Amino acid sequence: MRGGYLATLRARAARDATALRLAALAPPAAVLFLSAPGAAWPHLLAVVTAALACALVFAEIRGRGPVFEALVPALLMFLFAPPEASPGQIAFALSLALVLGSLIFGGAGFGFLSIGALSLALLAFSFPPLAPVVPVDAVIWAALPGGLLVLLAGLAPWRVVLAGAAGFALAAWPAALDPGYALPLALVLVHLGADPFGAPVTGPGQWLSGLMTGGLVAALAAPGLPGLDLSAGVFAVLLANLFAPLMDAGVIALADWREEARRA
Amino acid sequence: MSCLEPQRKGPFGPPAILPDTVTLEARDLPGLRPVACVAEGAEVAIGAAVMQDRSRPEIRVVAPVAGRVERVEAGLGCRAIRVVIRPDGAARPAPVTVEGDTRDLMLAYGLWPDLRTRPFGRVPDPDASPDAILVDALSGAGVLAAQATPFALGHGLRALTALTKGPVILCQHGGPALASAEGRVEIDALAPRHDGMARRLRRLRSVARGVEVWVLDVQTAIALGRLCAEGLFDATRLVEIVTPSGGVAGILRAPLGADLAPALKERGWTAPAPRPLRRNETRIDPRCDMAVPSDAALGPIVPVPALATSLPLGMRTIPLLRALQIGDADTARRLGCLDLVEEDMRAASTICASGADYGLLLRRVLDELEAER
Repeated sequence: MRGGYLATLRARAARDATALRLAALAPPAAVLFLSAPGAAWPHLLAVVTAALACALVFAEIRGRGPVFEALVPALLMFLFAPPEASPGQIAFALSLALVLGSLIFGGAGFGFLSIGALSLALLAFSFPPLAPVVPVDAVIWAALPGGLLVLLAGLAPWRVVLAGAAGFALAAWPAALDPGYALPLALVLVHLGADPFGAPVTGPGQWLSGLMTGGLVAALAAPGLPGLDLSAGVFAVLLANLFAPLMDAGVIALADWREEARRA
Repeated sequence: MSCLEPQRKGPFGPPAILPDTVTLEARDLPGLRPVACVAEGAEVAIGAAVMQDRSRPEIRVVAPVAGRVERVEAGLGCRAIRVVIRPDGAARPAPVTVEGDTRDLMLAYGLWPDLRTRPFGRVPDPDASPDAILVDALSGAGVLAAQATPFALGHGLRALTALTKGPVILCQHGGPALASAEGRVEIDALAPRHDGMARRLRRLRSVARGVEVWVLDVQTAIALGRLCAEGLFDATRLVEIVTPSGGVAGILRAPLGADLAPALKERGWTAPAPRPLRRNETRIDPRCDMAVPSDAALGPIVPVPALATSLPLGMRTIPLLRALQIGDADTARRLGCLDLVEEDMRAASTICASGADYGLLLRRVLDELEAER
């Protein structure tokens, strides 16, 4: 029956994408909230309010929803935003990312960037000391089952994750390679790098994108910083997202050229 | 399974159901402009012409049952929409009275409109000759019919070789061959897993780069074999009935255009909305009939593996679906849409969250590409 459940999960993944992605992010968000409820609730309130407000405004203007997809980048912002950021700063960066990266294109799925990564990048750009941070170990562990869920459902392309890890290992080898990077890197790759709407859709394109993301995470990391540099991760993901359509077009053109050569 | 088996004169499988009315629809004739050639109230015999193409009158739709023409519906310019016949009795094989080659027999007995061209999914021109003919024996009903009548199938396949200088390929799932491969008749049983004709076409003879292939259902080949070898015209077909959970409820034999809903209700099976049995339809699946196209704006395409594998291997599914959504015919052609027809897009329409009817979108693009030829 396992195969049956998995097949059903994968067949329904496209229709239940928002629910599955929110279910994957809910446990780490809950752990983060429960670890320091007093400090966390203003951030959580800010991201949820900003996300739903932006989505509702655009849904009202366009006369169509849905709006809950905006909660996915909201939870990612909640997980990775630095604790010293004010709720207003977080809400501002998230709103800007949602509008510029998604809503002006028609909503989630019509843009070409990982909105979670874009919101963290805009937070770092807009308020320079506020770089995204890797959450505590308990939060990362709580994110693992959800990460596995989106990988199994196919909502996070596994090639991007695998190639991302390989790219990071190759670029960081041997000096900066530390087993402690594994889980934070996996979290970044699954939830930001392997965004279903930001990653390429062709197999070779996904391998290339993953290698690029992983390599750039290692290459852009600030020297001497303890742990994984999440700012590098966010900018690596955004850069790979920008190249994703080009990678897909290149893969298709190459396949066409090979087909023509084979038939000639 | 040899074609040297003695001839079968009697029917095989379950007896044909007796429908209240038989409705022959013009929408089952893509690429034709049919006009009715019978009047309301006229008596028709089995095999009598009831519709014909305006510009190529040799392409005819014949009565699958004997009876009285109850209604003839015509649209603009006398273009026939549907002809409804009230049967006198059950459909049964009728003796052949026309002589000629394969092409003549198929045209005379209304088997020609069962053929579909790839690309574009049209009824082919009577004077044309394809690069290959693919015979679809992938449906449960088709397999049952082929297993019951290997003699007629063998004759039908050999008769089809007269239409093409290329091969006639019987596409079946794994297991024993349903017919013997001889001469230009080939058997394709290499893919044991469930797949459709689009995958076979893509693998065996892609039409994306200029060639033309004709596709027909194995039951049409059997009917042709019975015409040639037994001198009998049989307009009934086996139809597989699927339950709402996806299982097979049973098999029915029915004439083309019969409404199966009353027969299904009689047997206690889940009946779809009343509608006539369509040409080349071998499976009644209530899940497909329940899908109602929506006028709502299209949502985004979520690129998941299940969607990416819904089209034949080697196709760039997600880029193709995006091209279809925005009506980019040139990109869709480059991505191989010419290998597809509407029914190949059913899985993609079901899995995709966008709410798009990709069959409809594909038809628009194919029409545009056909007009550019």
